[in-house]
Amino acid sequence: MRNLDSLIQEGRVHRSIYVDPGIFSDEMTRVFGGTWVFLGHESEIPAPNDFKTVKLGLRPMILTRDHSGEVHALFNRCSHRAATVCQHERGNQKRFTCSYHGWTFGNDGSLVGVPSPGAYGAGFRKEDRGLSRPCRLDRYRGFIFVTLNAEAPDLLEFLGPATYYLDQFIDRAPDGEIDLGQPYRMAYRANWKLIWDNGADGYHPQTSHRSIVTMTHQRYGNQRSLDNFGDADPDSGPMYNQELGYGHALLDQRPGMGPSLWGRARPMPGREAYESVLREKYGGAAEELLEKAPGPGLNLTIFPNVHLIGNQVVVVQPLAVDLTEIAWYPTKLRGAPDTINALRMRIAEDFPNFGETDDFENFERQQLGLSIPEIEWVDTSRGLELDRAWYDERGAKTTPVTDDGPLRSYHREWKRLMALEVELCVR
Amino acid sequence: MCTVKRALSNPVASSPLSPKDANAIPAPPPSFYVNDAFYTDIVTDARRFGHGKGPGDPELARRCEAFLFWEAWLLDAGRLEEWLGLFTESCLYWVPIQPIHKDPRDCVSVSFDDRRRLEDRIVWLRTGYVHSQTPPARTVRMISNVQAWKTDDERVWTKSYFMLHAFRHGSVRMIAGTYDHVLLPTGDPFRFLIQQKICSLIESEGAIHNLTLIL
Repeated sequence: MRNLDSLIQEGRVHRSIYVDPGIFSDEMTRVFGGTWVFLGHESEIPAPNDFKTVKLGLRPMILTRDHSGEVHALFNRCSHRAATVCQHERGNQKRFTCSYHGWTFGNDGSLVGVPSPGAYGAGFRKEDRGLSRPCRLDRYRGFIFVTLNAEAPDLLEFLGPATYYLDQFIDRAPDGEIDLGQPYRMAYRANWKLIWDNGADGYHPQTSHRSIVTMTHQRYGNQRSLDNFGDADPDSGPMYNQELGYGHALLDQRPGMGPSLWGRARPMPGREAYESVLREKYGGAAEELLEKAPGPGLNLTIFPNVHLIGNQVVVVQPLAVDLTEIAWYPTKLRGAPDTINALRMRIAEDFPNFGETDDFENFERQQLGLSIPEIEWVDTSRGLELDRAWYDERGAKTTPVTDDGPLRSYHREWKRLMALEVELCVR
Repeated sequence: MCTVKRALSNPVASSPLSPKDANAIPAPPPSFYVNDAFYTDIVTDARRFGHGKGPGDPELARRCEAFLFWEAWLLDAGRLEEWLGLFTESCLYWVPIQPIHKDPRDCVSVSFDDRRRLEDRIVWLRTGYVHSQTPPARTVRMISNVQAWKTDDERVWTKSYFMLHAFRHGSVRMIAGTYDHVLLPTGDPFRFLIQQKICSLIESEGAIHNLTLIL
């Protein structure tokens, strides 16, 4: 048993949490098993018999909707000799047949066919040989989560105040529902937690995103997206971040963003064309619709694998101790005009191209620096000594946007999960 | 003297992303042309030509090939403003995710640049603060299997294969895919204007590492 208290200290963490393959292996079991993990959104499998494949930590999974509409999270592992039974990223099918010996499973996980079953004898019961599944699955407004921890809190308790902001993200849709599209998958060659250290960090944009800010100033002047981080002293601005419990966090840009999201959005392809169409069709009501096109300015992170950034649901998928996939799922607002949703697609292509790539480069530079064994510590102390925190009406600890509070809070949650004495269970 | 100057200005050997005069790119134009008709047209065209239309016209392909080689060289040499000059004012630079091109109004692409965003991209690469291209990658683009067809309205559709090798941080990386170019003829048989450039990566649905180069 490693000494987690020595790795995660108040104000600094040990380099090994980012570079040690043994710790990574434990994380994939304990963190991505001991707590609720986002697997997918119902809108990704809208029709009966739809499925998508996904990972729970590194465990291959199939997320299905059966013929009756019920959602199942199944391990993609034949109950016979363990081969994966589904090879496609997404699709629509009623059955999954193992290519090794032909065992066939329904999309509800039940074993429906075994070639030449007689040789197994009378004790063989197909009912006991279905595809396994995590012991718990639950949903919040279309977001599907699973855990292998029977003793984990209920999903609603786990999400806590995060639901307040998740609701704001979803309720921009006139029909109160969002639809996720096929993602743009990006990769960086560094540890998965480096994007967590970054998720609610209002200290980095000035430097990390200087390229996009400089281009924007040169082309479009001031008061555009990300300028809210460009104050001479970002510490004293009105933006804040929050610790939301269980490692979740919020970075709220809205107090620094001015009155109009549409007005400050960097111009996207087709902006003028669709704006004039909308104004012609909706008159004064177009203003309110246009406000639904850009991201809402709340960066919500739900530990261990979801970030809401702009309009996107961003999923963190660790692949190795020094390799991470970041999938940017675009969202459409159900009930909004097609023009608004088309604009959301073009806006979604902005930050991953001109912003996120610079974050990833920095994560890779961190991973390189972390490779030095003799220099052991990473600083997480910003704001610690000053203790400038206040509590909002939901009890969320709130600090200036450049404070490391959210980072320290997810590190504490990580430590709790890594030390959890619980038997992870499937059924 | 002359020899030395020429050696130093070998574009592949110098930094392809050195900052340029801020006025090299004009003020951003409005984007009125990316409207419903535009989307409908590109999807229709992509379905007609992007998925192949039988062997093309080899004589036409040979002329297009010379132009495509020139275009690739401008990118490898970091002559981005000259490269931009090959495009029409109502152009498209598109890197789709789905291998069968879907309506971009319904889905997100890796990149979907109109003229204005393409200019943004070049200005951005020139800021000197693009960490993901610091130091910049040194690249070569190889193009082969060029096919070309005339469309009904005197445009030319070309499809070609590309292999981009990029050297950065001590290792070489490969990016492979197909280009679809929609070209407008000019008075010169070997020069065209690019109306659309569609770059379809074989890894477009996978997790792509640092795609900050123009393809």
